[in-house]
Amino acid sequence: MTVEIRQPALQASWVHATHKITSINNGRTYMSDQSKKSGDKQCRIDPVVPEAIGRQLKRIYDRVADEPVPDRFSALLDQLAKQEQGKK
Amino acid sequence: MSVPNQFREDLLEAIPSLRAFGYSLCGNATRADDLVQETMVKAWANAASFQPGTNQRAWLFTILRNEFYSQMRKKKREVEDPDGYFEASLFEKGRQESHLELQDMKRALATLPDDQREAIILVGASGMSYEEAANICDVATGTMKSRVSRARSRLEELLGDTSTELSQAVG
Repeated sequence: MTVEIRQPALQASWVHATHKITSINNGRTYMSDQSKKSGDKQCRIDPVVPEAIGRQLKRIYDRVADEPVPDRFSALLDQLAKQEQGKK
Repeated sequence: MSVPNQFREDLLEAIPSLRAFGYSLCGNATRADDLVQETMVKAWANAASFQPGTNQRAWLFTILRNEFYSQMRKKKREVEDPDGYFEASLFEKGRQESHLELQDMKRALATLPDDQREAIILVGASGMSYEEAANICDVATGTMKSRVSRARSRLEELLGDTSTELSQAVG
């Protein structure tokens, strides 16, 4: 089975690609030989990560990415900037 | 040479994704934040070598990744804990996993070889392109593609039917 997804712009959105997962049990379903097609690399994304897996990965990642930045990091930047001032 | 304001602003802006990348790599929130801190200090010290206009997020990811592996090498000499990935963080205060299904994914991720785990996180979660991910990990784009695809096959095998059901439940 060959699944090709035309991806117009941002690659970041590919995990939300709309291809249907019909047989996730078969680990090889999406490993099509077509995925190695040359050229056109920037705009055709291989459906390497099925939606279900991509979504869970995103949730693990986004849960942290969506947290507010802890104060220690802005404090660190201030400190780094101060140290630099001191050097001059 | 002083560090440009733009560099500083972009660094601040990159912190959430650096934390997420760090957490996905090491599976431990406290350690992830230490990695981010170290990354910021190194980035600042090397600000002069960063070319403005190039991809700063990828540059920072590279620093964090290098830091992660250099810490791993040091740690290996101490205690090797192959099951430590994500396990410790699961029961951390304030970070309790309310979604059981993500535990399956975390366990599955924990079983992947490091190179495959980072590949699928970079491309599958952080939104990096294959090319960017390949640069960050210092490998050819083709190598990155095959790592992602092996990681994916492995995750599918491990998660089996569950992920289909879950995606429907979540979606």
